[in-house]
Amino acid sequence: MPRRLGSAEIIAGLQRLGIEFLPFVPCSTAAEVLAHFQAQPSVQAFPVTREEEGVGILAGLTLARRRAVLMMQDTGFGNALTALTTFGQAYHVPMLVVATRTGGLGEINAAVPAYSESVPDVLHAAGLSVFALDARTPLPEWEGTLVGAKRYAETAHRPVIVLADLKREAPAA
Amino acid sequence: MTRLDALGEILAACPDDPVVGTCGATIRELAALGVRDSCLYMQNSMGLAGPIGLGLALARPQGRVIVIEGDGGTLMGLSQLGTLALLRPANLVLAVLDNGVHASTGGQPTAAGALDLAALFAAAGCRTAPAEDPDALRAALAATRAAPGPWMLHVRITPGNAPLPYYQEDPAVIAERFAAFLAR
Repeated sequence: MPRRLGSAEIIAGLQRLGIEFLPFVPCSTAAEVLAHFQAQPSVQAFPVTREEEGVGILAGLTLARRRAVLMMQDTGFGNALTALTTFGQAYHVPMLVVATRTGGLGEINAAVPAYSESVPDVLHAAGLSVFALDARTPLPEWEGTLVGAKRYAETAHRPVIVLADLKREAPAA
Repeated sequence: MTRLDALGEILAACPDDPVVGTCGATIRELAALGVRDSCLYMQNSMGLAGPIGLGLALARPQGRVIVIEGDGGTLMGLSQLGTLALLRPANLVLAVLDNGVHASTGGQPTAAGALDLAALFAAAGCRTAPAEDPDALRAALAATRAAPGPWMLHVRITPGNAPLPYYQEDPAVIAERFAAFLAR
């Protein structure tokens, strides 16, 4: 499993949020983050079958005021959008979704670029709050952005999505 | 047994438990039985009642969580079967009100009659109980208190809806009231 630039910062951010639950739909670039939390006894990290199901589970956990984050790949927003808008947004559920980015520099899958590149526009068009962590964001800012995104979800009483680009491999130590 | 009959039995048996009610005529009839802080009335998001209930069950393992879903919504949300099988929350009770049709949208048939819904949930590790009439439903609800779940109650109801107005309360108000109930 290659080490990814940004994984350590995502891990630090989720730890600072004190997450207790981490439902996830896997993504190869998130493997390091998922492996970290699957090995943490204090965190219940578990796979969900589809993204909208993950949004529902996250909504239930969040309504009950438990600390939870859903991780998924951005290609799954096609599945998740109705749940995010007609439940998360309409019912003012302050939940945090961290989605790994596909498409763009470093992508190896020929099927995803057209959709992935339009994901931020799709989310904005649906009125969802989106923050990006990518090569334009210095790595020391990532942890604080994750924590701030959760705070913003609570302030705005809405779901917040962080799009994290973990495609860059870390240089060999 | 009508849907209204079944909902009345469920509410009477679970007065202190959080209840997630699926969209359409089901929440209209639930609300007609008296709007409760303990009910999460879902105005849309068909198929999502089960996953929301699963999240609630994980969040508060000390108490039961009741999900009221239809046969159409259950089929739409079948992806939860794998997660249910993996996590097996003992405090989750899923009542599937099966009338074989999408009653809220005009009575179009569902595929529920073509497969064994209870067997699907049994294969995912749920205890199941059939309920063809109010007496059987009362007995099934009592059984959910006697043995750990997850439970799937296969409740047969007649097609059709009670003639009721749309339930249009602000979803944010519904969620705030429900979250406050959970925090008590």
